[in-house]
Amino acid sequence: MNSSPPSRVVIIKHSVSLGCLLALSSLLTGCAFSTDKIPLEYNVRGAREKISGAENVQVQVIVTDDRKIKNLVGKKFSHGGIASTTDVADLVRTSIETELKLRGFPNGNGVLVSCDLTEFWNEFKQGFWAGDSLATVKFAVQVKKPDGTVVFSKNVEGDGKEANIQVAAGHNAQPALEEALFRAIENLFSDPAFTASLFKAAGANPP
Amino acid sequence: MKQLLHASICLAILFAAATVRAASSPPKEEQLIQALASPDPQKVSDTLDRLVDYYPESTNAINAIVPLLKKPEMRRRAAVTLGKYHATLELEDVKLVFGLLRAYDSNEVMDGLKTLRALKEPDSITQVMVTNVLPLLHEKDAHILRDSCRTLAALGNKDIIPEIKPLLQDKRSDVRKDAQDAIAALSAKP
Repeated sequence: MNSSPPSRVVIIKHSVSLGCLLALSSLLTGCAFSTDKIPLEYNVRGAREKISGAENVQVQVIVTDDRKIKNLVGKKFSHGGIASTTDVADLVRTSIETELKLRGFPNGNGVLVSCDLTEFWNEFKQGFWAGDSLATVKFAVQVKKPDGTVVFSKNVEGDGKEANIQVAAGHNAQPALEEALFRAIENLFSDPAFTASLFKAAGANPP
Repeated sequence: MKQLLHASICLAILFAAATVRAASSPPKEEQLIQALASPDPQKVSDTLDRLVDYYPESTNAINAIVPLLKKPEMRRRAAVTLGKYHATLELEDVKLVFGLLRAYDSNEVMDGLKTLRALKEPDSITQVMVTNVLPLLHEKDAHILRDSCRTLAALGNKDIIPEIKPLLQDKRSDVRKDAQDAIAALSAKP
């Protein structure tokens, strides 16, 4: 029986094969240890009806980033993270400004819409055959008069889901996060008290 | 004895036929309309399907379905059913259908588009519909683009052709095809 240790050449061959396998799996699934960078955007869909008198109410939107983890928008199952190439606080601000503008509210120093972004995060949920990408966006909104008096306050939340995914990677977190943002903005603007409060804060009569 | 057996078989067949007939007889229109008031969305959804299947010409059904557009959880199903009826709605009700065009789910948007082109509205409301569909020509989703072209072809006029023309350069052949068809249909209109 030959019990001599494997030759150096065999060890090198096996090491190279293992390295190739690891590299291939990284290429196919996205490296579990690296940080994926994803662009995020707010997708406006459809038309909005202009609100009568909105053109006389100037609105300034300020978003404060109060997230516990500011440099990431999600984590993979292992040590890898998911980061946004877009500043998410800025994304929330521009999303709200876009919706206001579409309804006829000009951007300017008048009424203040102050938002406190507390969550912009994606989690992966493991399933038997496939997993899900689940995202949540949360922010608190206050509408203030120019003197600082709060006339409206609301905690806004939106959830997004990319179902039946095979890989816990950035490209699957992206649609879930964008949906969560969409739902959060929809949640805010579907509340008639929000737009009414803008008129109230400006001292104007709502339509 | 043989005659008795034959008679029994005939009776059994008649009874079975009567039972089947009773089971398959359509539900009354009033019963279905009453069922639309159910708090169970699934039951309402099933009733909408049955109403349009059994009573496709019913104007009572249209009047009963329109209020469902105000219920967010029933809006999509109600709109689709009203489309199947080719209903004529008030502008305020059509605006509720526009809500579907702003949905995140692209299938919901497409249901909204299909509903709009199926409704029978006067020109004044049709123009508002076109104004609400036009922004969807800037969507990324190919299915929404294609359905928007079809809807604009049905509702619009020659004036909106320049809005559709950029889609002739779209990289997706099916989008280009629907844009081309829409332009052809609009060009043929007076």
